[in-house]
Amino acid sequence: MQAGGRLVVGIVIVLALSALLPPHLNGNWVHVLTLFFMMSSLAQAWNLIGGFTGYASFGNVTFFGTGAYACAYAMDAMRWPFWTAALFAVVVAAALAALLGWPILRLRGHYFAIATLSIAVGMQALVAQQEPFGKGSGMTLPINPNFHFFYWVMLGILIVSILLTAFIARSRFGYALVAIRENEEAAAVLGINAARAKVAAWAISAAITGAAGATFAYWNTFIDPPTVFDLNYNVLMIIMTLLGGAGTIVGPTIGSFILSAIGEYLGAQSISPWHTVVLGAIIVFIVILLPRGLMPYLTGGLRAFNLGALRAQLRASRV
Amino acid sequence: MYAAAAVGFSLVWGIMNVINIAHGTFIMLGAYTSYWLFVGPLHLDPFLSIPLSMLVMFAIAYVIQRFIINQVIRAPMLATFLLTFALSIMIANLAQIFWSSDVRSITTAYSGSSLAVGGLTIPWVRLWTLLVAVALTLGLQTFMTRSKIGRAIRATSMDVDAARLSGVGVAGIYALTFGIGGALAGAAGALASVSYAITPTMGDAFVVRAFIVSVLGGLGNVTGALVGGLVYGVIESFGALFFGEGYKDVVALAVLLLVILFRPYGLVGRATA
Amino acid sequence: MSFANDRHHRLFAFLSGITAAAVLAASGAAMAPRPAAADDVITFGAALSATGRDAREGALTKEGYDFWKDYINSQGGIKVGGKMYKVDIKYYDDASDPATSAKLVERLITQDNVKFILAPYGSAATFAASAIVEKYQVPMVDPNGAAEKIFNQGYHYTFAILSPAKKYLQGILELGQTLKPRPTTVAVLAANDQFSLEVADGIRDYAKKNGFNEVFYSTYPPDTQDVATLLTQVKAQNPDIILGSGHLQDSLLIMRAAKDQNVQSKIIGFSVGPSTPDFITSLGNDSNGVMGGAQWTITLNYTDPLFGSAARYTKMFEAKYNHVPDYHNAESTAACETFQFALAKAGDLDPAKVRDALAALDIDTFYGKIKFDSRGVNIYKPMAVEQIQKNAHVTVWPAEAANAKAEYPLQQWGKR
Repeated sequence: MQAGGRLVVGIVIVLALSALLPPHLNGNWVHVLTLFFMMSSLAQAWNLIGGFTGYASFGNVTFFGTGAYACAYAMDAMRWPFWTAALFAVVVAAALAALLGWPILRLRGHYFAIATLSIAVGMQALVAQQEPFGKGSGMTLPINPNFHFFYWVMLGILIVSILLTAFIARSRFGYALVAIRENEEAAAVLGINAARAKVAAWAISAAITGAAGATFAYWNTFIDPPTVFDLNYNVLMIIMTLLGGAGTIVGPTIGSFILSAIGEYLGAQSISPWHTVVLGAIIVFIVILLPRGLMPYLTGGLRAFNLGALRAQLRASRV
Repeated sequence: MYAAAAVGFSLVWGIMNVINIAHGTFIMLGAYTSYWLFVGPLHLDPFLSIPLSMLVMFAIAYVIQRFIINQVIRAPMLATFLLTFALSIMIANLAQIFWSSDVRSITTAYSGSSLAVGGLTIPWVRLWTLLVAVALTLGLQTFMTRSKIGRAIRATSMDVDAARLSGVGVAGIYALTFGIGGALAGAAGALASVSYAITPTMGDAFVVRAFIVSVLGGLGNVTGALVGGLVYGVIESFGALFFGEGYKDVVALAVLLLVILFRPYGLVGRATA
Repeated sequence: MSFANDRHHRLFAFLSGITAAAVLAASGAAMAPRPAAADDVITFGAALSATGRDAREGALTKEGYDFWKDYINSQGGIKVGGKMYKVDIKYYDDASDPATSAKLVERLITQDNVKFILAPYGSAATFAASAIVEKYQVPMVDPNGAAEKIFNQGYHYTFAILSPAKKYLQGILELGQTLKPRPTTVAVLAANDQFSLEVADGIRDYAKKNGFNEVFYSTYPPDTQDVATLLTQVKAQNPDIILGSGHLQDSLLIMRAAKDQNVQSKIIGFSVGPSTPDFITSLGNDSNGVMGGAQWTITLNYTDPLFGSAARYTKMFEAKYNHVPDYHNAESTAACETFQFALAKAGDLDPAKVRDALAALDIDTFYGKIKFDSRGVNIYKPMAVEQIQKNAHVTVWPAEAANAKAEYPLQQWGKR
């Protein structure tokens, strides 16, 4: 916990200092980092429900899309300024999560996964039929050519999401979530209102995701259903979280950093499909060799690297 | 078609507790197998190449399970989910590298001819597809209940440790199960090759539908998957008729959600305590 | 488990490790031999769909670009301000994702110092990229993002050489008005995406104003796998004309479902599909009689200072890629050519000057007239209508460019 605490503080300081960077970077790096902040925020948000609470959501991208559309609608049709629109998007995303959460969070394991997945797919199809949202044509937003603005907003969302996670992890609420993950019946016996805690966790997760979606919409200036309800975002959230370490405070950000760096390197190398094949191979290795993510190595240093333990763990996960 | 795509998926899910995202790419590989046999010197009809397609896919799936997925088969569900997801993007992109992104398809002499019954026209291809799907399902059902291997597979799905104690090679059984799942995907691919365009990404569309059909039918319930497939087809058609083509996915997914919430054991299954 | 199993596992891990390393090395090495960014090379940049949903169209686009690049370099390069330059194109893969397109275009401009952008494939990706080029004031020529919404944003740096989406299928209705007996009823099926909806709007407007009766209209999800219900509804209306506005795979699905259910119309046409080589190879004889809106066809008799004529372009292209160029190929080549003429006219490599030259451009190419209105849309080039006859493409509209008479009405299924 000590080493972990130092790591969290260190990462937050590094992130805060990176706010000074944009004037010294070219547009490409500003773009890459903005995207990294966005993906990290999404992974941090997923971690609250998937990592801490143990509910593997395949529907978090729903809130990304909802946030994006709420912001676009507020800015385009109602002519609201960005900040009001973004706040509106956050509220809508969180409310939707609370509304869906009551019935859906009763499901567990596979059933929760499928239910959330079908919500994500269904939402995309539903939004694509709505006239006010431009149906399949999507929506356009006003242009803000100051791309540093988006860098700072995404960075802000990320820092807030990390601090929020740290705060939750140390709170009674956080303990309740972990208790639910470990044994939901036992948690209930301990007097934890599991239903309320789960819905609250999902709503917070959705609020962060919605904020990122709203900012993305303004940044990209154009959204359509396949872009903002893209299931790949959801899969990336999960992979990044697992790589860094699910249920840890900054694991998702670290995982996102590593995966973004690899993706950036491979994507810049060639346009042949090989780079995607390599990315797939890397995920295979992560899943097999790092089932608990990188966090144990980051906090415990090389001591955590124990070949015997790794082999024992591999043996246990095989049949 | 949906039923054929879902039977193997449902089997693997039910027996091994693995959600095989790569199932769609197996279907794609099966379709390519039939395609190459059709355009090759043999000019094999896709319906005749089903056994070969099944054999090829059995081998591929067996190897993948034995050497890759088996490494994390006991880890939490997310691990196998991500693993098969990673495999699916690798397989789809390898297919694109070797076979390019050209859209291919198979047109046979009987494509498009139909059977007219009263006012209804039923395309022969659809009829045959349905018959093959039914035959495969019944065959699988018989295999699972009558054969020794089938019983071993079911025993393993009920209690891994007990099965091992009674001398069952669990790793081998899992590989076999996954191989059978792959073979069924191969058959579905051969069927798909007659009606759909063949591309490296064609599998994507089948995965979500296999998901839905498996849940409708009840997980691991082989005959349920068949019923689920038919029900899904009907729901889609009715959704399209009454709410408009654009809403058919919404309607199908809404039904799925209701089923999960109120009948999680599927439409034809029974609740087990 | 057993010892043997453990050893096995280690071997597997080791082998896979080596494979991954080798692949990494190979993917790095494959891209290494690029011409160095010397002074006498002009580098263009493009983020294309090499993987994902639009990989096929991305590949056609890349062929078109590469054809121009190799041709120009074999001719010694292009002349700008009295100096000869070789050309090069830097590619990235946007994996068919618009957000990635935007990112890569920004990378091309700010990291690779590319001053001239060739647009990605598709309207959504082009839309995302147009915001980026606008910000950096770098000109982008767009060969295949046809949705007009892109150009109603007041952007100044994006130029589309293709006819806008609304015109895609209008030609089929224009042709229909000249036929006897005149077809009157129209059914329209449109994929629910930006480009396809604009195409459908164009047809529906035109139909209403020109005495056609729209008997059926429906959109369908862009990733649809089953259109049987849709075709049942179409059949009930028994329309003279069926028009599909979607993408290649949808067109194939609709054709198959129409045959399955014996839906017989006098005309059937698609916005995307019939022009691609895959359409005929996929459907065989069933493709005969199908019409398609085409940005360009091989039989158009336009002349060109660079390639001579459309016919000569076709011949050279076929020799290089072993297939007849479809309009995606041609419009992509034409986009490069457009840049080339703008550069020559500007006599300078300054992006702002090239932009002004593009805005004032008025040239005839093998692809057709290229001239932009104030929004950057090429409204001056007509769309053609192709029909498949005897398993080959012929042009049937506009009359002055036609090299065959339209087959009308369609033969019965099975006799095509």
